[in-house]
Amino acid sequence: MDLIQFFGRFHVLVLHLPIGILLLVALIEIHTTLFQKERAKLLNQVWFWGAVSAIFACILGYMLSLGGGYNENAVFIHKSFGISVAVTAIICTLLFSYKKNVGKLLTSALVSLQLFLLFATGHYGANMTHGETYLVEHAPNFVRTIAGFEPHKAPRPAITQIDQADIYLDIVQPILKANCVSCHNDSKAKGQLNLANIEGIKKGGKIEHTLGDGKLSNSELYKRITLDEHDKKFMPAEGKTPLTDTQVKTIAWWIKAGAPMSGTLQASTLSKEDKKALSQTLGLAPADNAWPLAKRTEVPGEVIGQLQKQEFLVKTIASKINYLDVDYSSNLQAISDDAISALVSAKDYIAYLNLINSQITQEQIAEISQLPNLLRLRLNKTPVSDEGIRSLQTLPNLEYLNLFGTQISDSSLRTLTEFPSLKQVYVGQTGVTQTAISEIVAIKPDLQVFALSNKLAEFQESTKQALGKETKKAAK
Amino acid sequence: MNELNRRQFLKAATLTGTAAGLSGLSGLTLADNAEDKKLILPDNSLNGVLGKPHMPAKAKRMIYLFQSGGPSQMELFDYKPMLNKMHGQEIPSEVRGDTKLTTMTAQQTSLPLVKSVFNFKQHGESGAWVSELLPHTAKVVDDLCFIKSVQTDAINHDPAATFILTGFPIAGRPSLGAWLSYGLGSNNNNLPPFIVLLTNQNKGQPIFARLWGNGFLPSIHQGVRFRAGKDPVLFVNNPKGIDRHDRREMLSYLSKLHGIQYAKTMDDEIHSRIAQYEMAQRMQTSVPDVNDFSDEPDWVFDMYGPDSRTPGTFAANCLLARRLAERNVKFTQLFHRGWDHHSGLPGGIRQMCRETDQASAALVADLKQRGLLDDTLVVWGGEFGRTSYCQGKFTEKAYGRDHHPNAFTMWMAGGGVKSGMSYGETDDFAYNVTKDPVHVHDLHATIMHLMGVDHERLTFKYQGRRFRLTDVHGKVVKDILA
Ligand code: HEC
Repeated sequence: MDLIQFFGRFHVLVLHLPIGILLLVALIEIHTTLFQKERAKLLNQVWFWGAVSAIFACILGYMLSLGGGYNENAVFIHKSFGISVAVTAIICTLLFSYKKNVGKLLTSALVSLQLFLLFATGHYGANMTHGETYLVEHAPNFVRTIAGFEPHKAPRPAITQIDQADIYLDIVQPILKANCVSCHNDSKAKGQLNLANIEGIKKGGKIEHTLGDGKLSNSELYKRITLDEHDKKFMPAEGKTPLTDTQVKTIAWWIKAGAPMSGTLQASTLSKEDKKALSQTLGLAPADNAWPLAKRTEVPGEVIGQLQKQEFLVKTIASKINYLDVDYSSNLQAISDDAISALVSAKDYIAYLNLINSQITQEQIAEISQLPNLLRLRLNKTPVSDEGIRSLQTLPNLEYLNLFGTQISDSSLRTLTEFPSLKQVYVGQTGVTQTAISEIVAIKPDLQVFALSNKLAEFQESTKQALGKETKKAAK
Repeated sequence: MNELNRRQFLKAATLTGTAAGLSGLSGLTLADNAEDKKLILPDNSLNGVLGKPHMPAKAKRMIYLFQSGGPSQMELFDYKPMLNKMHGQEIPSEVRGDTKLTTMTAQQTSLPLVKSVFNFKQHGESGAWVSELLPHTAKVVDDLCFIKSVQTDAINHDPAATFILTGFPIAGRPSLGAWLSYGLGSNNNNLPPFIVLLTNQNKGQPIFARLWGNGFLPSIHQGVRFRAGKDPVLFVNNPKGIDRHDRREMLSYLSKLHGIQYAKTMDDEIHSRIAQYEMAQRMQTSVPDVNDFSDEPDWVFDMYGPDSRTPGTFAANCLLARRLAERNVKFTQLFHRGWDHHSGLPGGIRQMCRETDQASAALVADLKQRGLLDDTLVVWGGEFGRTSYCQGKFTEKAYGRDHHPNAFTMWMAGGGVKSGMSYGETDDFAYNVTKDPVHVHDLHATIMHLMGVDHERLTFKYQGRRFRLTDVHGKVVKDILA
């Protein structure tokens, strides 16, 4: 417990009172003078309360500054202006209360000075909380030049290959900048840690081993970003959005690599995991579980209507993922040519298609090959043949193909290796043989081929035994 | 006017307001919320109230194998050699802490630890520990994700079952399946999205229809129970003397009458009624079709075990659940009773495992070979676990275990869950969770997430407040997501 800090933090609340009161009274004074209105006596009281609130704000502000964590120079400027505000307010209160007729010139001068000091104090105070660059961060370049800031830096050229990425500029800095720098910067270094530049990062914070010695367990920074989100010490603090898993992995890689501040990535030295995380951070690889297809605008109502008219059950994949999951399986009847042409006219939108039991013909299957965004296709229990499979070979995005209970043979399996994106294929209860599957898996190890369960024999054996026991019992 | 009750009057008044163009005003009462809009839109049960999932669903369907009574984690999955060592010794007080006991063992003067009489072995590439009671489950461990650290709030059967199936220990809330049906709708317009299958048995803790009830949600979202035998769904078939055509005529007129009534009273239940009558007629063909196992080859029955040929057994229900999954039924809930082994645990649990092990494992393997496990979430578990200390007689054959809500094991498979994984840990006595607790609310949040629903954003306004399945709790267990 620290009473001084406790009260000090009320500075940020109280400071708004003098701003409001003094601003109001100053404007009314100017108005009265300019338009030669009668000056209300009440204004003297308003000045008085303005002065009182300013004095309070000063005292609390001083208490807050004792806690440290702010740039001393910035505190000095803000403090000077703040005290000047209070002093000017006191002078005005005394002058207006005790002197009958204050000259127009003097009034205008004092009031203008008060306004100027008020703005200056507010501005320098805000700079300390939000950072000096806060106001001009999104300003057009000419405004930045006038305000004495460098024009916006040209954005880093887009990275197209992992080897081009600068370790600090392209990987570490963007993460820190987006998540940490608002509290850890030149003018406000919480925990005495400045993450805005290389020197600050190297220097570390109050606690030693901010970065550690290359071991994650010795790194305060890594500890902070991997605590439980509700922990008081979790970073980013104050309930700000936590780093994503990929960002945490990226920082972990960086710390383990000894926290290099320059140089480019060496793809060849990276482990597979690290390479994936870094590529994701750089935007070169899609995030885990990201939707694999390009963003699309909302699916037009007519497209869905047309499909529904042909008795398809249509669902949108998810609220921001404007692709369709189209299902014919509950109709239990042969699919018509009209239905197929409805599919073709909705071709850009269809991601999942279920044609189980649809009795689809060879010609109709060939039409399906026009669906460029098809990810999953179920053709179970349809008369699809080896020839049909061949016509699907051009589907660029097909990842999942279900051929359970169809007529295909080993030759289809060979065709399947030619599919560009295929990852899973189901060939149980077909003419496909185990030898062919083994061959294919050897050629294309990342294609998963699912035949009937290899546990089947064991299940059957145990059923046989159980039945055997029962019959024995019955016989007895 | 006196035919309308106060609510209906208010609702009608706001609707008239909207029609008159006072949309700004009526916006106050009819918030711009999906569930509120539903008050005026005709029922669109196919897409659910969400219209589309919040995020892509990893699991499009779910099968919940509910093991009523509270299976003992120490006899099945949570292997604890320490119990062998300390067999017969009093449970250490620091382990017991101030956990509550049931009134059944609170009076017991001694609480001796009791070891499992069954042997454990590691199985599969994942090396999961499974006891000899579950030889078939042991074969598919690499497809399962064990959660060893499930925790619930209730210590008695009814509140605990009500809690894990509806998210609240007191009766009256909508069940998990009802929420899913309400939020996501159906993927098959000939079968209800939420189907309940009970094992035909006369032992075990009683279960009630409210465990698959709709609570305050529109009644079309309640689970529909399929019975074993000739008439799987009661009252679906036409009465004697009425044929299909007559029935259709009757329904069309009825629907017109309902329309008139709705215009008058704005009662949402009317939509539910119309939808249910229509569904019932479609079910006259779809239900016999799904229940007719004659198109299943022998090897399938051999897979699920000898019981699978007898309707109403757990095995037959597992096979039926697979057939329902093939037809895209969103949520199938199985109930199997009899896991409540306060005494005579070894014999009792052996019997339970004989009835359920092969079929549960076969279901996972069967879904997998058919390419359905990918987007079907299978969940196995009871309402709580059992204590590591003995209840009743302390002998090899007669020992029992009491209810234990603080730590128990469940498993999940498929539907976007990591496979070959074990999550969470308990102490040496399977009594307290030592790592990664998963509360029932977290389980619900995770299931919803896998089904594409953000559990915080699926709500229903009732009696002046918005309700959700997870109340104000629930964290998605990210570490088990594939
Ligand atoms: C909302 C403000 C805020 C943000 C954003 C923030 N921090 Fe902090 N940080 C603090 C405060 C306040 C302290 C000092 C109190 C403490 O040690 O917890 C601190 C302390 C630290 C410390 C300990 C410094 C030391 O040596 O005592 C580290 C390391 C740290 N932050 C890292 C980070 C990282 C990395 C990020 C970005 C992911 C971040 N912080 C974002 C407010 C913030």
